[in-house]
Amino acid sequence: MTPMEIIVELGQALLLIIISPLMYGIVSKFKALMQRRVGSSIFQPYRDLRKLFSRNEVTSRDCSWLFRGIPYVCMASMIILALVVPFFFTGVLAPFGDLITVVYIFTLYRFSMVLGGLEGGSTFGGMGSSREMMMSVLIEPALLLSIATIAVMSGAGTDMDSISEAIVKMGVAALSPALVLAAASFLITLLAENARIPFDNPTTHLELTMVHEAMILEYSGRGLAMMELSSMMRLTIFMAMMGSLFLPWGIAYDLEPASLLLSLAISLVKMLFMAFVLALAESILCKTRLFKTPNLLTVSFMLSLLAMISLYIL
Amino acid sequence: MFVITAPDGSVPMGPDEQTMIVAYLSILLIPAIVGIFLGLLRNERFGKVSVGLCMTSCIAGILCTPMYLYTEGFSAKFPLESFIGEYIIFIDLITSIFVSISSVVFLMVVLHMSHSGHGYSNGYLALTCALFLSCVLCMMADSVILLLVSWEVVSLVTFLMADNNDLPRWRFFMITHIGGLVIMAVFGYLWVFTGTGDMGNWHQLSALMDDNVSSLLILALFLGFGTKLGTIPFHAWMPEMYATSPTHTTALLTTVCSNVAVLILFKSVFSWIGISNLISVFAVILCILSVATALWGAMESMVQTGPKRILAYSSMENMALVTMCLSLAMLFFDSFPALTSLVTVAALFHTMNHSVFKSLMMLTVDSIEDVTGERTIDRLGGIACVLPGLSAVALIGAMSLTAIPPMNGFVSEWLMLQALIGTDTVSSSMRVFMPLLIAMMGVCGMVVATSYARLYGFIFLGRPRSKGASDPRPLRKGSLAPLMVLALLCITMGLLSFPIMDGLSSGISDITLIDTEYRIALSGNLEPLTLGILLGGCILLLFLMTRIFRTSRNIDETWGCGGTLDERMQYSSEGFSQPIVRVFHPIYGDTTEKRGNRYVTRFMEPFVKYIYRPIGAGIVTLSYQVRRLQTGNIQSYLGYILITLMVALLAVRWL
Repeated sequence: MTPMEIIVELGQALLLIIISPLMYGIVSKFKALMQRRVGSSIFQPYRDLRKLFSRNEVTSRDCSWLFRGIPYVCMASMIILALVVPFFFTGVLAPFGDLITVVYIFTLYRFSMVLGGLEGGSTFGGMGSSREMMMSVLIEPALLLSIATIAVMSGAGTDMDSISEAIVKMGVAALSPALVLAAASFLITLLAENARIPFDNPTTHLELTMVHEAMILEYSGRGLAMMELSSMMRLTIFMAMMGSLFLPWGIAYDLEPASLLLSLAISLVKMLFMAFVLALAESILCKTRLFKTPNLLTVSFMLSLLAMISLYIL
Repeated sequence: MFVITAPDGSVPMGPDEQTMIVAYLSILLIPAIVGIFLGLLRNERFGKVSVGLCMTSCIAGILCTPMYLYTEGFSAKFPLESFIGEYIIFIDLITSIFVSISSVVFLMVVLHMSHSGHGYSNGYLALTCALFLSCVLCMMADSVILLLVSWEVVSLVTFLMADNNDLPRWRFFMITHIGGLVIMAVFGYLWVFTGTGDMGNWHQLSALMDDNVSSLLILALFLGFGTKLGTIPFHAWMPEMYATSPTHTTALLTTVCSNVAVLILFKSVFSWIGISNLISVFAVILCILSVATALWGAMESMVQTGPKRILAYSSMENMALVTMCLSLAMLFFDSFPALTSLVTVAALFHTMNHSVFKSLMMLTVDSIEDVTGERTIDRLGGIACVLPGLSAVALIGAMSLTAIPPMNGFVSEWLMLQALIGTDTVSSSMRVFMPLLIAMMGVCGMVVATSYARLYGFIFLGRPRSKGASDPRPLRKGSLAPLMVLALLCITMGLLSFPIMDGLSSGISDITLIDTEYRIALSGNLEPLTLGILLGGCILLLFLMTRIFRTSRNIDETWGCGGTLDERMQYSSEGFSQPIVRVFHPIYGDTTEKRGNRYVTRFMEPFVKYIYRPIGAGIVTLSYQVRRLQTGNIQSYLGYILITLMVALLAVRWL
């Protein structure tokens, strides 16, 4: 690994972390524009985070040491993921894990958040945790299957740094039903994992709709800031995975400055486009009833299953 | 004393080495034997000595792997002989690794037992020594007689150690003995077939046999050992037995005995019998059975409220993943050597991991029961505030079981997924099933995660839900140390998993035909050590950063919408699993009924209801019918004798 490579890879990880509140802001801005509101500035999430970071923390007297540790674990797991997910360059800084590890680090994140929800002894936390687990039982297999599909399809195995390159080099042949189905499934997974409409509404605190917000209800100040930031990072990482693994065209796989710059621009456009799609989906769909979400999640599961099977049959 | 020989084809041993091996075997076996006899005496002091002797044997057991590395394997003949054969043991790498890991677990359980304050009787301690002895001998056994005798002793001793319940342990007795009979029949057949009970002479017997026969033998072995591992429908004894026996019995049963079963199954299928061409049909059946077991175990573990029942069903799930791997290995055996190697390593590694983290969880549950006196998770809560040390080690166990990186459970599940996604699998004829298996792994993984988040959350987090939980007794002195060792083992076995797996892989190639490097079949790379260090470093860095820019923290009540919350307003464990139960309602077949002012959800065990109950009822009906023959009238008995004689004579005449 050359120093140049390391710098680029570290740079893309840092960029991913830094733009994550921005992506959140952009999605809200798009949503506001679609609803003909002015909306808050796209930099609002940064201000919110800064405010939260400087606030004093209030924790419940029924919380244990684990409650205070969970925000650190959540942040750390997302930072690790930012290091292994390619964004605008196919190489990643830390080749210690592969796609399967990525899925299991998401499990780490989810598991700690669910435990955090059970802390404090409030009704909301337990409710959020319980609902989160219900959804993730259906999300997890879909996620595993869709990434298995691209791993097998690209023929590059599960290594993070070779899949996108392999798919780009396949050319038009990569546009197979398998990839399209897997990408569709991944999109639904993205919505569900990140607590977006129609699965959850991140902007309300209504107990009927709460999943993600219910789990982090007891956090405040710095803990809340870390939980919020890590959930923003999760959204951005999912979007980056969508852009670099499922629609990898345009990603740079050599270290030419020109191609890197081009790739950076293309990747950012992809992110903007996905933010637009997300905002569009949130504007035209509404939050479904909790016990209807399994239907949608099963669709995602079926799509990914079909993707993998079509890969073997076609 | 012992007659020591080197394995075939290696240099004969010098006298020094022989003396050393004899000394080693004496330290391994004799203290446990003495412990059995001391335990039979009533004096309490002898009980303590017996525990000490058992620990000595366990420590010798841990040294089995160094011993193998020093001697490169040996076989020893006992100074005993019976009219049906000799008692021989053989140490190869796999066996020695399994003996070592089982001994570590055994030692920790015994340590915890001696500090637990249960006041076990001397008889129980003698049985513990007997269990250790029989497990170790069964793993090392190289002659049919030793294998069958020690296997039987394992079943009997665990039966006797479950001493405070009746129906569940008889159910266990019946089911494992049916399994034991099947195993006995298989080994008996092989003995007659080869004409020798010395298994050192059994190498890949399937080459000499009819394909049908060898495949049937393997199927029978899987089902026979399945009774111990809880393959459906033989799991019926597990939840009740686990829930009602002393926790240390359960801890040994679920970890060490499963290790023994998997090791013997592995050795007999891949080394002694060998894989025939016809096996794929059977392998598919076994694979489907394992998948069903895994799903059923995971799902059921999520709705139980007794911690030991949760652990029982999750044992089923873990062991089903292991048998699934073994059946995949049979499936891939012919055409994909690297993949076969990969799945067998995954199976054996997962078994080892399971014994470590499951014993950790079992001992945690025992400590919790001890300090709070509560047996359901609905009456616990908030223990993490009072016993932070215990909650930390339990968290490590729960994370291992949930396969969270970088713990050991994660690495073995990663290997399994690698095998399913792997590049070789793509060209196999069974590839269409692979997506289904991946989906199964995903569903199982998340359901198990739910189950353990629930177990951990309701025991350690939240508010105490009962008096016992709000004011627990202090932990007994020294009872945390074994848990810490096991937790540390969970982490180190995760971080250093590749060296361990390399060892397993070379051990496998020593005794079977699977001799390809397993790493060839890996399509991605994993460095658990780097991952662990990075994750830990990141957490530490973030923590230090927040220490530097400090803000103050206030403690206040949990937000309760303006009112005050009491502990009954928390989510109940039943409520926690309710959404999943509702989604998978057709599988659970749960019914909710109103009883007084509360609703009660009931889950049925379809296997008990539709298989065991009808069989039991049938036998009872049949015996009522038979009873009608017993009139107590001497004339009718004479009549029966006459009829029997006539039939027998006629039969002899005609045949």
